[in-house]
Amino acid sequence: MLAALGICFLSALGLALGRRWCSRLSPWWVSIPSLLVFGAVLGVPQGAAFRWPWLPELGVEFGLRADGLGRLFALLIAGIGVLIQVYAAGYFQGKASRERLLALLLLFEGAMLGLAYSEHLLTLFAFWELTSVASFLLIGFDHGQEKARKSALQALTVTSAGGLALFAGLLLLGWIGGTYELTALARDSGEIVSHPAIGWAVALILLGCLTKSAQFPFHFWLPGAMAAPTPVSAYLHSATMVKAGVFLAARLTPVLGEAPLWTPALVVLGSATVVAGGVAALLQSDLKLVLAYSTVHALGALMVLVGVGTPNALHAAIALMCSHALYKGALFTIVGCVDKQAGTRALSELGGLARRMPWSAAAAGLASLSLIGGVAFAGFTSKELAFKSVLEQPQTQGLVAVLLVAALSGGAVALLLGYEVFWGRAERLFEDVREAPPPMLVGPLILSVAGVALPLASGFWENSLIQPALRSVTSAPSSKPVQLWYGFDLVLGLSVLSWLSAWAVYRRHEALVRLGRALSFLPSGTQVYELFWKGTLGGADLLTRRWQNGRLRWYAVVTVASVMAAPGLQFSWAPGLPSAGGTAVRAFEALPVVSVVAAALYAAATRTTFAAVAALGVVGWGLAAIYVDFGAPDLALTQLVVEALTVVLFVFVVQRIPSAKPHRDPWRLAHAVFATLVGLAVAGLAYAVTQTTPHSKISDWHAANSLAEGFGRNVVNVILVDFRALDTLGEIAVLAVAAIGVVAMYRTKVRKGVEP
Amino acid sequence: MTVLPVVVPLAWGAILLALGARPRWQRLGSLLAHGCYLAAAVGLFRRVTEDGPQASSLGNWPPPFGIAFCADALAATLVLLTAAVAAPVALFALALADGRWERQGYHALVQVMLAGVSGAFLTTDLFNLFVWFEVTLISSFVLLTLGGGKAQVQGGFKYVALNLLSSVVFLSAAGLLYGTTGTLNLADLGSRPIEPRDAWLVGLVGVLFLSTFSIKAALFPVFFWLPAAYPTPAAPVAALFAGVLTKVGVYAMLRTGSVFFAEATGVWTPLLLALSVPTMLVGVLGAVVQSDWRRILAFHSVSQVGYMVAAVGIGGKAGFLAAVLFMVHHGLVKSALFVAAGVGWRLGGSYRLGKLGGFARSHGLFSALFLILALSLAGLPPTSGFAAKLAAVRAALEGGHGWIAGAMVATGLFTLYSMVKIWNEAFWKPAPETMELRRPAPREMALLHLPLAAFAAMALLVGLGVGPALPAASRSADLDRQAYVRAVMGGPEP
Repeated sequence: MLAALGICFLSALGLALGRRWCSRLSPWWVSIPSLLVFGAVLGVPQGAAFRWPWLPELGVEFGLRADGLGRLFALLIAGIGVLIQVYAAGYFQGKASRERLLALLLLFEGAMLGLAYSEHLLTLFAFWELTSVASFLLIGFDHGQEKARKSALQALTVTSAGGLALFAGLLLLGWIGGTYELTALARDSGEIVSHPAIGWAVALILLGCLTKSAQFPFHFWLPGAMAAPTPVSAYLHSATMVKAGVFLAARLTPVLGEAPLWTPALVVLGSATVVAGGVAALLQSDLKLVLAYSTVHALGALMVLVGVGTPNALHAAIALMCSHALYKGALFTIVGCVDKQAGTRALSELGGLARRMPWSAAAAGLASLSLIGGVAFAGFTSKELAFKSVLEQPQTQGLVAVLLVAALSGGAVALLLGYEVFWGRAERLFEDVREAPPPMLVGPLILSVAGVALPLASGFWENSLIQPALRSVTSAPSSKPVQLWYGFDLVLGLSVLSWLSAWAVYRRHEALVRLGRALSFLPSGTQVYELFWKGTLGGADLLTRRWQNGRLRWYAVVTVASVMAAPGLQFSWAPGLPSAGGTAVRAFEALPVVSVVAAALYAAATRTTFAAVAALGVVGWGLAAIYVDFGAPDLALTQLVVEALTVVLFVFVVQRIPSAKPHRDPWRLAHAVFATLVGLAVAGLAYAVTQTTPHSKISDWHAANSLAEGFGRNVVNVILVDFRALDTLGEIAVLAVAAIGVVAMYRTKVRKGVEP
Repeated sequence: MTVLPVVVPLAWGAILLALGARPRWQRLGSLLAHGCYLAAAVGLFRRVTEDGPQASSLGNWPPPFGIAFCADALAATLVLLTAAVAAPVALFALALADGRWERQGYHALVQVMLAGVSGAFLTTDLFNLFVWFEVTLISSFVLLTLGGGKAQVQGGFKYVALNLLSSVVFLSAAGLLYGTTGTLNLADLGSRPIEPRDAWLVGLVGVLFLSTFSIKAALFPVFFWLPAAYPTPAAPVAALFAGVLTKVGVYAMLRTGSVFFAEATGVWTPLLLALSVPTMLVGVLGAVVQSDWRRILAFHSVSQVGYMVAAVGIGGKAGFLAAVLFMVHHGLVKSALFVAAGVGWRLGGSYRLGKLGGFARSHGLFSALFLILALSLAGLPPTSGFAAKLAAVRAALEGGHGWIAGAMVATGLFTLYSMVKIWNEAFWKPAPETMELRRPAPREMALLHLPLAAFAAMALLVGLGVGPALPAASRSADLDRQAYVRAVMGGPEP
């Protein structure tokens, strides 16, 4: 396992760093890393495990374990990975960006493999997020185009929103279960699903699964993701990454299968996805969009089967996951060939390509037969199993209709791709079109042939691939193995019905496309998504402009109001009153107090700056008088000097400010009241403090030790330069820095409009 | 030992000042000074890790009568963080240095600011804390306005005015607290019971302290100074501020709260929890609508303070661990992103995203480093952001604060959105025709990339759980009042 992951990440790094050198290599050579990864994945034995304490303080472990489901998923990822990378190397042959693409594909492949092998929930989450990031980079691969950038952002925000929900859900699940180990959680499933908070965990985890696997109503990001180059679409958005949500749902079935909400949510939303995707697929004329929507409905069908959760349904889901990966991978790559060779993906233009591109046509035909559910193809087998599994329980029989929609739409898509493009009629003759180069044909051919070979080797398919995977999601055995043929029964009748109706729909396709255009006024998921962002950004813009509006006065008012509101809250929490006391105010004490108050009021009322400054000076002098009264002449002297200097400086500066004229201010009264309230509050607090006496004061010790230990009679001096010299050092630094600042300011003129 | 992280930069500040306007000597001195500071921080960190909390009394005056310093795991971790942020930023400053701000004392001012920040982390005395706040404030104010652009002076004025308001509150609160309890030594305060008749008064004073720390930390609704100031100064100044300044406020909440105030002030914890959510949301909503690289980052700083403060409010071992880890993560990554913005400005000539573009094509390494750091800020694994977010969300969920966890998760989505916005605009979008790509000399290019690479490596190491960050955060989270009191005041082991 580690070897596979290591090869992925290291060769991705190598390709990114050595892209100049690698660009000389042929498509076959640059695909070697993926082949090595495939080899490593094949060599992973059942039950292999690895643990490393990743963030032990946070209870996070890097824990991997290869069980049946993980191995099967990894095999699909690595197997298709090889073919896609050969294909991509051919697709981008001769382009400078080839190595970048391959490096990103390998990075993505490593993330997917890690996801498949994860045993620890948070390891799983880490790889989950890494796939989102890799997908983002791949969708935006042609980042010169705005559409690619937008689609990449959209896919990332949708899957990350789900990812964040998943994150919270997994954390909740880990908390409820007391562990993040999947096997341990499955053991305690009974207790976990009866926990009161499990509903939240299930809802959050499902959000993650549904967004990742493009389920209704989040399915809109997937068609948008088709902005990616075709090899990327084939790999990420049909064969592997979008199946991660289904994979996780299957993974957690042993833990949460019995939880409330689990089955109904998966079945209902999965069904809605089938219908939405199935219908939308038929209304498109761009081949890639047809395939994208048909992927959406297939994913919906998978979700429904996982949601039903019986052994037979899970069995069918696993079989369908394999067959879908094979035929959808093949069809996507062929669409890429057609697009590249014929220069168009529009169904209305294409037709009769079989003569020009025989190998592509063969691959497309085989893959389409599997998709339509032709007898003896992998698609047939998995469809039979799916129908049978929902029919066996009375309460799930209604789902037959949903599966029929899926089969119908899939069949019509198969006809469009496998028949119309290659054997249908077209106005253009495509005489100059040639077959795609070999690297681009290997993938589709192998994938489509595998769709026939797998049922032929049904024993291998059943016993080596499906059964081990099934055993890791359910303990009960399934009753129906995969077979080539199940005999004439109701289900075969359903298949025939789906073929016939698919043919009928196919015949009316042009009308459907016209209908699709006519219906384009309907709100789409993308529009809702854009509306959400528009609304959010608009609201955020308004809020930010109003709040952070650039006006210092607003800032100061809010700040002071907040600072005053907080004690209000605390006071209502723990009220109290100062103990009564204090001495009577003597007449000569009242004089400075009254003058300070009067001067402050005058400063607030006057309209001229000079008068306000002078009034503030009076406030300071009044304070000095109070200091004298309380026996602190040194403090009073300092205050006087500071006050005098401040007034002089103020006058000096105010003189030079051009706009220092009297002005009217509508808020003046409000500010004055506000300031008075603040002042009264602080005064009240100060009064309360003077009414209490602490048991011991530091200053008593200072007074006692000043002469004996500090060798100074002036206690204040000894405190400043000895007891608390560090404070003084700091203040000296403040003064020095302030001086530097003044010099710096003085030397530079304020420049306008120049960015620093 | 404990005083070195203060004394060393202060001394270097004086030396650099004495060197005067000699850019070469200034740069050499600055490198040496950062080296010494880093060494002092590492030395203290190792000492504390091995031998437990270290205390020392300045001038041998016993606490609470003189001033005592105490370095426990929390303080030592944050001093080390400051050094780890300052050193790469110093390299970055060398790349951009043009002699203009150097002549005005840039290098000396940085040292004084580092001394102020370290002093705030290490002191045990509330008045002394005020002094270090002032040292930090005045040096950061002068750094903000160096160069004297109009926007800088405007931003700097708001910064200094609002922070002086906070100083006034701090000083008043300190006076009132001394009047009530007769001491300002934190350990002394924590070691004796509060008089029942004064409890209401101490609570009121405590909430004033909370207000002043909230302003320093840039909490809603008093964060105005931060988005006003951060987007304006010289690039290295912004990077240094982003990594260090708000942490001092959060640290003060953590320290004074755990030793004394959280218990003495009833609304302390509820207020932190209640304010954290609007801080996260208003900050991040402010960020998503900006179109200036540094304004986006500045608003994000506000939202991320919300995470830290939420974690402080949640408390307990899990909450404190999350708070410390988030401070470490944010210190590293936010500084780095401001450095990246500076590199973008150096190469593309603007901070406005509309005027930039095409870096993904023209500067692959720069793009890769930015991507790692941006994804780290958005909390994606395996980066420091993931570890920090994991710790925070987990603490919130398991502490029963589901709505805070929800706010954290929602904030994460918007963070990712705006980081991708920068990426899409400056890196993926083709360069606009008006943009003239500047081509610095190879030596300068190396100096521009080196700090980014160092930060990205640190972010990855923290995220991978390699190195001292996580164990240190875990040790820091044991905020045991008794142990702190014992370390400062002396006394027998229990």
